[in-house]
Amino acid sequence: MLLNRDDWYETSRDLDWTFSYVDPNEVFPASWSGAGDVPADAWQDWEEPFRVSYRDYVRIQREKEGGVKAVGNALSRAGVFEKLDPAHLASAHLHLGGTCMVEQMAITMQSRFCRFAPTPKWRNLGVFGMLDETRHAQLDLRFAHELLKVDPRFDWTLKAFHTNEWGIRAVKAFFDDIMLNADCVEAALAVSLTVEHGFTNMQFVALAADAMAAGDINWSNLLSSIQTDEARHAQQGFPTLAVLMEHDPERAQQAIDVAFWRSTRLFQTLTGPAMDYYTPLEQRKMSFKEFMLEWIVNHHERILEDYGLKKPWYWDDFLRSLETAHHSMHLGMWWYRPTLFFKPNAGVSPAEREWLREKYPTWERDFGYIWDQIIANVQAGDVPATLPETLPVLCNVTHLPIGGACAPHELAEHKSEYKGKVYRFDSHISKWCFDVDPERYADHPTVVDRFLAGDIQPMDLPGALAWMGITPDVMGDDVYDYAWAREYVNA
Amino acid sequence: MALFPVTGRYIGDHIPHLVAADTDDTMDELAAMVARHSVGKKVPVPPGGPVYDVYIGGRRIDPGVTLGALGLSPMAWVDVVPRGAEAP
Amino acid sequence: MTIIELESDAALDVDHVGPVIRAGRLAECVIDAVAADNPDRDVVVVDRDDYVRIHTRGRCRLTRESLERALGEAFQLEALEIEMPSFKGRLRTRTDEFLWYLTTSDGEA
Repeated sequence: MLLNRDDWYETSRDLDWTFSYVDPNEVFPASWSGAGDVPADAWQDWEEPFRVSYRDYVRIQREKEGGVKAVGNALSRAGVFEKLDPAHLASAHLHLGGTCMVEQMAITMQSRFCRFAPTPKWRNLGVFGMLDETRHAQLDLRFAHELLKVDPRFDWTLKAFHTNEWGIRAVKAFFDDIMLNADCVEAALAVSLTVEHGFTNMQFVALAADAMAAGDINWSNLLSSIQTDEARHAQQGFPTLAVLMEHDPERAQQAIDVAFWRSTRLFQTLTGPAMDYYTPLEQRKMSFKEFMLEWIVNHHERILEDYGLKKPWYWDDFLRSLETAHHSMHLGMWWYRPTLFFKPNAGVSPAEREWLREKYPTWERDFGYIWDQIIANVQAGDVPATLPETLPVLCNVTHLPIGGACAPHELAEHKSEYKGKVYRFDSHISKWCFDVDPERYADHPTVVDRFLAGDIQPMDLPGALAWMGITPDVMGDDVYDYAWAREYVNA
Repeated sequence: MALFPVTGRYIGDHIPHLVAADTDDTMDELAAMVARHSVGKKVPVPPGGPVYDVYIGGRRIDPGVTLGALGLSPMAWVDVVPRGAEAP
Repeated sequence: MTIIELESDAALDVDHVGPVIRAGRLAECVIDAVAADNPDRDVVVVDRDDYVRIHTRGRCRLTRESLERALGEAFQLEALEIEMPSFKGRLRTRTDEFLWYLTTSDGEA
């Protein structure tokens, strides 16, 4: 009789040996494993929710790959890409430039799980995670490579992380920290749980639904196929959380509270504008706020609570930030469009503005007058008055522009002094992240810190653009050449 | 006379800007430099014209005082409002 | 037990758990299988065109037997992953059963 997987799974997975010639602490140094004060035998309780065997893995991944390739082939023959709304394309450019190399970094993180995780069960799953992330980076590169012939901005899929573009540096600052420089336990809490179980759903499932509606079937299919891997390997985080909740719950709570806020700010930059401004109005499924309530508040946070975690201490401010923070980020990104490697849609035509007012009752009060001034200048033929002449100020935790992280009219100074230097933050929450672990952020200069140190020459905006690697063929501009502003002429 | 960058926020704009000021700049000159990035660009020109007050740490600074005389650290947060408007 | 299709997730309880499946025939069959496997619970379906939430409150079973019956062909539950970009709840996977659940829900019993 053939054994089924349940009969042999534990024997194969738990294969391990007892070290006799070397000290186990040298084989699994705490600085890599992150085991800390958790007793060694506590990891015996680690039990993965989502079982995987190598045989099944290969069969299933092969089928996923076949599906992505078939869709891609059919669509490239049909010339679908050329028919997409140009505003939607910014979502794809931003996604590929901002995340492809994060997938590449995740290979390193998963390979650390393979080698240094404190239980053989987890090390076993790390192998599959490593193969998953290899697949994601390669899928992105292949997808972008096919499109290079129609759009040079897809070159930034590979190139972005080798430039100093400010947004990319913000993404890099986060993932360098939690993927490349974190021990296994911290990476599981920050990446597997917070990013992969929580926030990537916003980009890879919710935004994928918008992309599908916008007709970008190939990219949408790519995103959701990637997330089928993420959903599985994100589960490495839960048994780790369970062990921590038993032996060191404060550490789990703090690591997740920090990662949750940093993720919030990053996805307000990446997914917020894509959903509420770049997706063509007729194709928007829901607003960014509605998707955040579905995926983060309802879907993600409830499961963490089931393990005994409390909501982050700043929960009410997080909820308030959903009303405004990504609108502020979008306005800033559009204003600083020459610093982007894609063409943003302003997304405030009269019809789009009506949608924004309906979805966000305070939008008009908070941002309407700013856009009105911009519209007046465009109508007067003064486009230069809608372009930046200096840099914004960046947060020393998120590396994102300071401005309205919780609400635009609460903009205020947040700073800390550490070892004789002053550090500045976008909110009291980012300040808290810094204060509980300043070594992590100190001496990681932002673009503005570099500018002030004289690293960027000449010390002006063109100098900064050159330093960021922005070239004329990709430099951002209004995607519709301000047609939306002219719609107001007779309003 | 020395370059002295500040974090300049014009009340009503949604972000502050990096403003490359000088220690010899008076508050009136500093205010104009901060306002330049916002007024008529992201917020309307105030009815009283382009004349402003500078607030630092919630305190209005006399228009003739120079930046260098205030003993601030670089990138200090500076609020600018139309002259006579209420404190930020 | 009823299958309830929601227009939006406004009525979706935080204690609802279960798979999120890419739209298509498999999603339709998972709805039928979850209905058969959870006779004491309502099955709540949220269809966002591209993905479909298929949830029950507190505890959601899906067996290989029910899914094969709905599909009319042999199916290994491991392959559910191919069409499952997300799921809500804690999970336990065995050859013949996937179980999503919460330990702190009054609908868990």
